[in-house]
Amino acid sequence: MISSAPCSTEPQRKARQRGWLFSLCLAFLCLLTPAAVLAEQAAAGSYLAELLAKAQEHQLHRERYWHILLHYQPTLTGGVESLIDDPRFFLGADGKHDPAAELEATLTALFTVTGAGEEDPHCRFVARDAWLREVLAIDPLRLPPAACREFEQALAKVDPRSATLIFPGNHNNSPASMFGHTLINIDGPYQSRLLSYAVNYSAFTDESNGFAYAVKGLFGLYRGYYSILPYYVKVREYNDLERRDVWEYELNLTAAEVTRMFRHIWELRDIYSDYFFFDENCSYNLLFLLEAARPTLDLTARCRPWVIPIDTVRLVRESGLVAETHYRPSKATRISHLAGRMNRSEERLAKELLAGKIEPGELATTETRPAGQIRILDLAAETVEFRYFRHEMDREEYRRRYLSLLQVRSRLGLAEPADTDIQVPGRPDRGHGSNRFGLAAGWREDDFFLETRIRPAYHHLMDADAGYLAGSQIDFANVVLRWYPERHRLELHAFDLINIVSLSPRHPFFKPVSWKVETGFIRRSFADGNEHLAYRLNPGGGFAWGGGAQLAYVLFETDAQLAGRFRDGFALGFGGSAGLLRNVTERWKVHLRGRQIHYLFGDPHRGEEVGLEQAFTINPAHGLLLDLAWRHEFGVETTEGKVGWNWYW
Amino acid sequence: MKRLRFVALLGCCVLLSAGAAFAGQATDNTGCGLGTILWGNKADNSVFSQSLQATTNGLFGNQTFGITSGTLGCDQPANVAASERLMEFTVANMDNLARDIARGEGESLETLAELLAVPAQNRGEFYASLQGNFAAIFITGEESAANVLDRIVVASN
Repeated sequence: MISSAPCSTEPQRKARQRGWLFSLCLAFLCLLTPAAVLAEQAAAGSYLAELLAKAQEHQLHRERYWHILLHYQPTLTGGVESLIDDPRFFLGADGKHDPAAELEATLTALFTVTGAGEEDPHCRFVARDAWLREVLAIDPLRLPPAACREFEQALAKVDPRSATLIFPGNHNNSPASMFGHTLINIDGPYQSRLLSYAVNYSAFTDESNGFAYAVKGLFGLYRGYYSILPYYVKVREYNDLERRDVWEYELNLTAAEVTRMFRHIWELRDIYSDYFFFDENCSYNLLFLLEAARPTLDLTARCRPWVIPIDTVRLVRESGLVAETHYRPSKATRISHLAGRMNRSEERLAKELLAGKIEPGELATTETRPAGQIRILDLAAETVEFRYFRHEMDREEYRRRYLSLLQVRSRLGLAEPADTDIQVPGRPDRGHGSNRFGLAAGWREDDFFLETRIRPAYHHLMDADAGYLAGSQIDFANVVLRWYPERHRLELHAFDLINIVSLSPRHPFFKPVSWKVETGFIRRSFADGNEHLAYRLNPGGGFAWGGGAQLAYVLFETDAQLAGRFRDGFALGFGGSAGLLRNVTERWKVHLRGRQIHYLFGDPHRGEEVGLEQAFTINPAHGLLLDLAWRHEFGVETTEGKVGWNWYW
Repeated sequence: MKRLRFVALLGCCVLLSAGAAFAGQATDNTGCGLGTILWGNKADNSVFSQSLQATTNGLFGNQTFGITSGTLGCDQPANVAASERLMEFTVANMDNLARDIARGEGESLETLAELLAVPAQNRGEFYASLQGNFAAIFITGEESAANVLDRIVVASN
């Protein structure tokens, strides 16, 4: 630039002339502006006063939509409190608790030019802005002009037309996915669902310590944020990486309703609320978005004190929002399906191919038919990618192998339709409810008893599998009370705090482990020949085989028990269990199990048990059970049998 | 005539997106080739790290509103929405796209066709010609999204 400074070229001269003109105009304007601005501000002030009076007169701060937009919930003392914890979300001094003050502050802010651009209240709180303009019939010409370029661009890009509730279920061996999760997709003008945008509410953290993470999640020590990302990113994450089948529930929201929802999502950008695992969690917070779309919905108030994602799916369905349902099988499900379609020689070749013993090109020289070669190559490509995700191969090796598999595959045409058509399993929202109440009657030795039990969540091995994962159990806070009429005795029979079992069958292409964790209070026999309560922590790990209608398993277990009745107050032992779980018919399930533990430390003894449990499903809400058990502890034998009824809701 | 218009459109898309891609690569080279999209240690197999998500389905990293920034820092043409999405989609779905092209069917391939505005009646032909030309589209597995799109246009002619 320095070199060209001496010579003034034509355009530069023109620019200079324009500069002069501009300065003149500016000077002129400077003389005029203060008066004009003052007059304008006075007019705006009086208009604002008029609107504030109107808002007061109509008691707008009591309107349901205002409460939805601010996430207000009634408190025990009769007031309201917003579930949003970020002070930046409120314009009023006590906006978290005072809807009237917040409304006044918001309205006032709309008349104030802050010069903050995108952070200007108009642009920051676009849904509030739109609603107030509408209900107060605000004359846009009398409001300070505000262009929200970022919001408009985002809106144009997302282009909301409809919405879908997304439910990535849990997968067989991941405690991480336990109860599933929910997202809301905003669907744009495209046919491909992958091009939708997924709205998610989740905790924000870079914590790497699992224990700290879990504890903090339970007690609301993380901040939850709303996010919006392309759905294909989420599909990769849930479907491909985490092996979770995904369910998509199309909602019957209109384009106008979804646009309203999008405005509200925009307001929640970078705004945090404290994240609580049980209630103020991912699923609960998404319900506000649906209410923002259609204010006549009342979802957040109808929630239980604990919110399980699938329950919110049911709630949404019961509110009449669900139109159609789609199933998106995970990569693992696709691999299992292909493996199930293979004959022995195809399976052997696939294994050799994956082990690197043969090259993809050599398949053509085998006797396998093209359809079989396609199955082998498709399975191998999916599996190679899967192994790369799991860091079992580096990127260079992955690229080389993936590419060479696909190159050979591309010469073979289309797969047989049956190789890609995966049967849609039972809808998770149609499965049994996650609350269970049960009544039973039976004998323990010679004593007749009546039993009642209640469990707030979620699924037991013996509950009907439809909509859940076969071989999985996640029971929380299961309380069992027994009354022995002859002895006039009511006792706590068991209180399972957590009882998780994950039986994941071995597979030609996956080698998952199975495991269990049980902790809680149990009633058991002691050396004095009587039964007393003990606290038990019982983890175990092992393998399962089978699949489909039956599973067999072996687990190696550690059992630590605490009770005053034990010598030294505890017993610690090792052993194992084995069992066979079989769906004899669609409604009749049988579980035969045996377990033996050698308690070596504390109070040494041996414990053995054998049980046969049967469950009959009447419908998703009702089931019957018949249990027989034999136990042998400290040389004391106990047999018991009971019949009962379970109600799920 | 229709075919010509389609090809012209394709060309346009590819030129614009190629520009975007190269701009992006100057600052960040991660958007290239197969096997680029990984989620930190999320897929790692330890029960411990998985249990992290049990409580929160946590967000890692710091992107929460990813509406306009899907191509890892690439400059995007501000007013060609379709090509922006095409580019973003291709960058993020290269592995799935490669698989679907090799198979001659699949959701990512259908999505690509929709983004390229391939008319419904020409889709079958489009998929078949890409499948037939797989080896000419993915040569090293390290090619960038822009490169791949470029070759797709050539292959579908």
